[in-house]
Amino acid sequence: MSGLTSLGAAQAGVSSGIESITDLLVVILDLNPIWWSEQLDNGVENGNGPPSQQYGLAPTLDQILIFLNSYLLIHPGNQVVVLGCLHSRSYFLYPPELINMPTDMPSDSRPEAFRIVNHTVQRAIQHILLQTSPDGEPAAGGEEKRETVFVGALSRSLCYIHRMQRESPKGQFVQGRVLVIEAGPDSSSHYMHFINTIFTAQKMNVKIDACVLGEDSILLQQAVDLTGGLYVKVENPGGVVQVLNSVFILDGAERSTMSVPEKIQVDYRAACFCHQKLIEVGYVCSVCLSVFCAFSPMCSTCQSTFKFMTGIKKRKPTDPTSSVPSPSSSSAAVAAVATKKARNGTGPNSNGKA
Amino acid sequence: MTSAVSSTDPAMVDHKSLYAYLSTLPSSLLENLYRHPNPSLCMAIFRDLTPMAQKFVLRQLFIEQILPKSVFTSWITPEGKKDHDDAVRLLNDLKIWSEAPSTAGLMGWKLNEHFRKGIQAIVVGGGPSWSGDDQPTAEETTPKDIPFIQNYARERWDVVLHFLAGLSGASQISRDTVEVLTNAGLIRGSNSTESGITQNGFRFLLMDTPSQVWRFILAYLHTVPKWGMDLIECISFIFQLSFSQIGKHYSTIGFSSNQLRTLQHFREYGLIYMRSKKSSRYYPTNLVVNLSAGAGLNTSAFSEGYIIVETNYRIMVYTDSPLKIAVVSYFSDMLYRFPNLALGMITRESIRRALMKGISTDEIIKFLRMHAHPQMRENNPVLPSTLTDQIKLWEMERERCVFADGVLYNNFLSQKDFEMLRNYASDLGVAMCSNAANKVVVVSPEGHDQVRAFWKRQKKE
Repeated sequence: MSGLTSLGAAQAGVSSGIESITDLLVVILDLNPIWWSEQLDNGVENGNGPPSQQYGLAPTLDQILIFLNSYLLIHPGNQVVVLGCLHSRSYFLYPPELINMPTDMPSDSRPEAFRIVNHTVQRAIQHILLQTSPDGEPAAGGEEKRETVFVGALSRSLCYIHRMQRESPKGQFVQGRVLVIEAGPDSSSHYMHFINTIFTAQKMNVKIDACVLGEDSILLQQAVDLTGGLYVKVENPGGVVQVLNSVFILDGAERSTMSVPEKIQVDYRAACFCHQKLIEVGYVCSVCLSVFCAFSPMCSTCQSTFKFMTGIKKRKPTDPTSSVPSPSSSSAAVAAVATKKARNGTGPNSNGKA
Repeated sequence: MTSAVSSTDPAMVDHKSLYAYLSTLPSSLLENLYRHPNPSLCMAIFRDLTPMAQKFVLRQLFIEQILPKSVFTSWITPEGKKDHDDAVRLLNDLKIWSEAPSTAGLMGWKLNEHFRKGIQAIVVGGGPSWSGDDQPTAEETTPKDIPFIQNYARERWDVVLHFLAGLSGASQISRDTVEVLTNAGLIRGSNSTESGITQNGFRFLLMDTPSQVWRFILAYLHTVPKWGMDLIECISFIFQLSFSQIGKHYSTIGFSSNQLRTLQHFREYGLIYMRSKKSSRYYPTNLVVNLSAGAGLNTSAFSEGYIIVETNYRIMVYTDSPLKIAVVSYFSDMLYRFPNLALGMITRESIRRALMKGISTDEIIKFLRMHAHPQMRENNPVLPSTLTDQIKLWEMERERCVFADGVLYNNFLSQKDFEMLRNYASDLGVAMCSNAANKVVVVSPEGHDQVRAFWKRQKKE
């Protein structure tokens, strides 16, 4: 009898139908020219500080390329996709969307496949920055342009991963992962789309990692926490490659056998839908769960009118700890419930896929 | 001959055998390999390391000072202990790591400087080119496209397999190739009494093409010193080939006579394509590109699936190649042959015949899955589980009997005598079996002396 059970065990690996897994890494690169040039200016102005304390686009890019090469080096089946992200646009840098695959590359000691990736990314970035700097993108106010919106790039990378999974031959599974390298500050516009994208990633079992060069990003922390990725803020501009090569090169299985940075305390503040501000206390639409920082009689997202008993306004300030939820605690509760639901969703989902 | 080639363990023939092969080389030779100006070998070795060993090297890559051993243990979680020990052993075996005191005086692991330089050159760039692709390509007037090269590679490689399978009408292959095949233990040498394919040869034919090529190359490397060629030069050339791009052509200008000879050999096996023997251009084929990546990368790229197996054990082979039919008939009974189709049955006898040839059921199942017809691949699982289970059961059937030597004690005069001896033997743990009705005990050879002495003592009393 024991023979038959062991047969069953041997068969289990077979019947899942997956013979090999290909790793696909999508790197989203923050190319916001304003942030990068500010870094450059600061470096020049603060002549007293060591220049190494400022990020330069070229040196940082070199380090990122070394990381990409290392990733390709680890396993011949590994694939990379690089996206560049501006204030309101994103481009595929590799495989290139704007330029042709470069054919005339000076050869050096890198293998040809690596060189193609490196040169394509470099030239695509050059192309984008040369195009955007003079008149560039549609002016949306100087303040906002400092910020980079990742929603577009994230959803495009998820689409790309999905396409690869669908197109892969039977028996092969493409395991996608997204690494966001953020430079500038967060942009809380499109908050709802951002969170929806993150939930999609969670459903697809795609981890989102974040490597932050500038100030801490609350949005990316939420994304990382929801998808089970890693979040690291780089302190030293010269150490980007070391961080990338020691932390972000680890794939899913290795994160249990090698020590990784501790989970960060995540700030789960939501951005309100009316002014795109991160708020702690707000109003939540009971129909579509939209968050608002100020009260309005009608939900601007789902157009439902709020019918309420008289006296709600009185009750709110008087007793915040009572069992009747005040708007503030209900918004928190809603956020928490949404997180929990989505978390529970990942478990069976991943099983189903495997 | 080393274990890498002569071993019968199926695990030894997968891509991990690069490690098995390299660890047999003397350390001075390894050092010379890392020192070689062409870093492709460092790259091949790096890819062959375990994931954790790779991460250790990557973390150390840009840190010049020696890190104490405790740093490496701090990088892992308790679950990673085993992987860590494996990685340390592997890196030491390959001489990538050596023990050295760190700045704080603690013992640490030092990364081989040549290996570090090699990997750095690969990820950072800046060093001289090693793939030879920077030469002008204008002189090739009509470059060959990828399908042509793939076809050529398949044809040439099939010639080697045809010869191996001993099929009539196989075209002749060179003496050097026969020597390599003999060295690999795939065929018996012509001087021995029975020539022809060996057990390993059968198993070789059932492997996927990348594993076949890889195993063949290892045998080739073993044979190289016998021809008086430089091993290091040959190894680095092979890895250089394996990292080149398919569909591109490279120049042979500046090649040494040894490299030219290797080139001619590889041309024969279909690893590279050359227009003529004297041509100064060569195209690497899909057989040699990504060679060190080993099996399982792009198996389907080498051949279309052509086998359909049904739950009633009927097997259909959609091919007219005698080689493919011959391989399938190793483990099935062929019934009918049509112009593009051969029909057979998988039976208990046919599987047992294969098992007696030394082919394992895992190899058979893997072969069937690998060459499954596109229509079969729609199924999940690809092969009907009744079939795979039954094949496994037929294999286990052969393992029902375990043979062991033993000494029989019988003709006891009384039940009491029998019981006394049986109890003594079973207390010692040497009784293999006993039967009270027939009064027989079988004792293992190790316990025989002791039991006999006991019996003699008892009889005297």
